[in-house]
Amino acid sequence: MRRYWYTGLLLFSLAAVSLWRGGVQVYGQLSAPAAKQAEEEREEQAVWQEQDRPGEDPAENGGNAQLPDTAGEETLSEEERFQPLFPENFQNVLLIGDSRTMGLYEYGDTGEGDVFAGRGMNVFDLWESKVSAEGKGTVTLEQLLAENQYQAVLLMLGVNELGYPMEQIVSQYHDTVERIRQMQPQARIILGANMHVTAEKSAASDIYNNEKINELNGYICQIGQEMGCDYIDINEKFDDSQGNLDAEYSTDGFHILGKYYGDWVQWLTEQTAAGS
Amino acid sequence: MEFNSIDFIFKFLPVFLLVYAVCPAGWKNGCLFGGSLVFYFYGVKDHPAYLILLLCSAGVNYVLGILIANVRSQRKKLLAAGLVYNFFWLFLFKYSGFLAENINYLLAGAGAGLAIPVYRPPLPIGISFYTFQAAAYLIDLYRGRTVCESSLIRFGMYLSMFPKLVAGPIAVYRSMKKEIKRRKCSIGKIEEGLREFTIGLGLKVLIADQVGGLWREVGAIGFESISAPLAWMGLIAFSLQIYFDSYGYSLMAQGLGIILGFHLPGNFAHPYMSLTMTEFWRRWHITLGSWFREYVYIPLGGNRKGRWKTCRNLLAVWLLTGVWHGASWNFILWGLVLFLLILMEKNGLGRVLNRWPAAGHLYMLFAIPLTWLLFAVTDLSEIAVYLQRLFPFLGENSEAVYFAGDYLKYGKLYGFSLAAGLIFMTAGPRKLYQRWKKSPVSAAVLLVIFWFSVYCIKQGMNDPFLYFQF
Repeated sequence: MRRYWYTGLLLFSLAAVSLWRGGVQVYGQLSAPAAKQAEEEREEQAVWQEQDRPGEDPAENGGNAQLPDTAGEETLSEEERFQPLFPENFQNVLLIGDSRTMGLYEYGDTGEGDVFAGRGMNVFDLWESKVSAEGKGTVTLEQLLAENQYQAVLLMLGVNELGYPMEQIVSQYHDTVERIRQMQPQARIILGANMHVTAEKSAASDIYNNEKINELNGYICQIGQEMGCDYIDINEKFDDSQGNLDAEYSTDGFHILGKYYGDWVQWLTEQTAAGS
Repeated sequence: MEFNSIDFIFKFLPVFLLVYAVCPAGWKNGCLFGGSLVFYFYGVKDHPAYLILLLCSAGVNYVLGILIANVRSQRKKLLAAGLVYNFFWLFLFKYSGFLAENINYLLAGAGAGLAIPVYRPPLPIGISFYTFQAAAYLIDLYRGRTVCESSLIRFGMYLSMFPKLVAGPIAVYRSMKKEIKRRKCSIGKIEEGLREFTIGLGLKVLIADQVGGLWREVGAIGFESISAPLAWMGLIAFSLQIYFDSYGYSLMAQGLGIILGFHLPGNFAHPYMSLTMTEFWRRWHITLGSWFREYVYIPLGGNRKGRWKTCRNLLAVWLLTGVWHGASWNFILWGLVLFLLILMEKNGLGRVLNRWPAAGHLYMLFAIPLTWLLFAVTDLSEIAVYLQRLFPFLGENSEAVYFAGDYLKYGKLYGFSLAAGLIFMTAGPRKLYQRWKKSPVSAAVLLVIFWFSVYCIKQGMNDPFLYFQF
C-alpha cells in the first residue's frame, strides 16, 4: 500500500465528499418543510414592504405627477432645471460604484471628485468595504461621508448583486440611499442606471442579462422618484438599436474599452436636472 | 467534454473506468472505442454529423490501410486517395472560409461585383489531430515502416481514444502498435496516471486560467489604453497561459493514457528554458514538430539538398505550422517570423546563443512573448497598436489614455499567479517532485491541488455570487 498513497487518498477523499454531499442532501430534504416556511415568511415581508411604497409599475421610467414629493423639494425653476447635475470639475462630488466607476476614475478624468469604488462593489458589502481613495487613505464609506461635505453623490451599483433575489437588492439599495441622505442631507443624490451588457453576453447568461438589468434599473428609478433623487441612464449613450451595449464599445461584453470612459465622464458633465 | 470539467472528472471518468475494469481482456479495446465515441458525442452533440465524420475517417483509413499494405502495385494511388480524403475534410472545415474571404477581397479589389459564399462552420473537435494521425498511418504503411491494423475496432480505438482525441498528443500508429494489441494495467499505473492527471489539472486550472484573466482584462481595457509595463505584463501572462494550458492538458492526456496502460508521448520539455527558437520548437508541442519533420521536412529533402532547398523546406514547414494553428493572416505572419528567426539561428546566430547561455535566455525573453503576440491577436492593426504600447519610443501615441500605475493595480491582482507561472516553467518543481515522489507528502500535496482545482472549476461555472465580478 505504501506505493499507492495518492490513489488511496484520492479514493478516500472522493468517498468522504460523496457521503458528505449525500448527507447534506438528505438533511436538506428533511428540513425542507421548515425552509419553505421561512421562505414564505420572507416573501410576505417583501410584499409588506412593497405595499409601504406607492405601488407603481417598475418598468415605467416616466415621472408620475401624482407621486408625493417625499423629499419636500419645490418645483424647479427654469434656470435650475438646466443646471448641470455635477459641479465644475467634480468639486465636492462623491462617486460610489463598482468597476465601471473605477474605470471613470482610471481612464476618464474625474477631476477633484472622490471615488469610492472597487471591483465587485455591491449594496450588501458597501458599508463594510474599505477603499483607498486618493488623498484620503484607506477609508470606509461611512468615514468619507462623515468627514466631508458633498454637493453631489453619484451612486451606480446593482449589477454585481444580480445573483440575489430582486426584492433583497431593492430593499438594500433603498436603505443605502436613505443612509447616504441622512449623512449628507445637503447633497444632491444622483442614481445611475446600470450599464447594459452586449447582446451576446446577455443571451448567454441567466443572471447577467439586460432584462434583469432593466428590471433593476426600473426599481432604482422608482426609488429615485420616491426619495427625490436624480436618475441618469448611461445606456442612452452606449446602447445599440436593440437596447444592448453596442459591441463596438466593448471587447469583453461587460465593460467599455478604456478609451471610451472619457466620453462617459463628458456625458456626466452634460447631465442636467431637466434630463433626469 | 473538457478534461477540466466536473462532468468529465466526476461523471464520465469514474463510470468509464469502472466499466473498463470489469471488461474482459479481449473486449477492452472495444470498450475504450465505445467510451471514446460517447465522450466525443457529448462534445459534438450540437453537430452529431461530426461523429459520423470521425467514424467514416476511421473506416476509410482502415480500409485503405489494408489495401496499401496488400496491393503493392496501387500503393501510390491508394496513398494519394487517402491523403486527399483526409485533408479534404480538414481543408473544408478549417481553411475554405479563409480562402473564400480572401478571394472575395481580391475580387472586390478588382472591382468585380460577385462574391463567393463564405462558410465558416464550427470546427469538428479534434479534426486537426485525428487527420494528422490518420495521414501518418497511411504514409508509414506506404513506406513500409509499419504493418496495417487488421481489426477495425482496434484501429477505430486508436484514432478516437479519448485521452488524445481532442487535443493530442499526436501519437503515430507505429509507436502505439504494441500497446494497442496488448498492454498491462496495474495499480501502479493507476497511481502514476492519476498523479500526472492531477498535476496537469493543477497547471491548467490554478495557473493557466488565473494568469489568463490578466490577458483577458488587458483586452477588455483595449490595447490603446494600457501602459508599457502593463503591456509587457499582459504578454507575459498570455505566454504563461498558453504554455500551462497546453502543457497541463497534455499531462492530463498522458495521465489518462497511463491509467489505461498506454505510454503516450510527451509534448513539452520545459520549452521556456530554451536558448534558441530552434531548440524551443524541439521542446514545445513536440509531437507536432515531429510530425512536420517526419512527413513534410524530410520527404522534401530536409537539409540534405543544399542551402536553397533547405531554406525552402524550412519555409514550407513553418508556414504550415502557422496555418495549422489557425486560418488567418496573423498565423501566417507568425509562421513566417518563426521561419526567419530559425533561419538566422541556422546561419550563425544559434552558435552564438548556445555558446553564451545568458545571451540565449535574453534573446528568448523577447522572442517568445513577441512571437506569441502575433499568435494571440488576430487583427493586424491591433498588433501594431500593441507593439506601440510595448515599445513607446516606436511612435507617437497622442491618443493614449491610460492610467498611471495600472500595472501596480494588476500586479497586485495577478502577481501571485504570474510568479507561480514563472516558477513552474522551470525544471525545478518537477525535479523536486521526482525526489519526493515516493513520500506520502507528495500525495497529500497532490490531493490539495486536486480538490482546490475542482473548487476553482466549480466557481468558474455559473455560480452567481462568485462567477463574475464587475
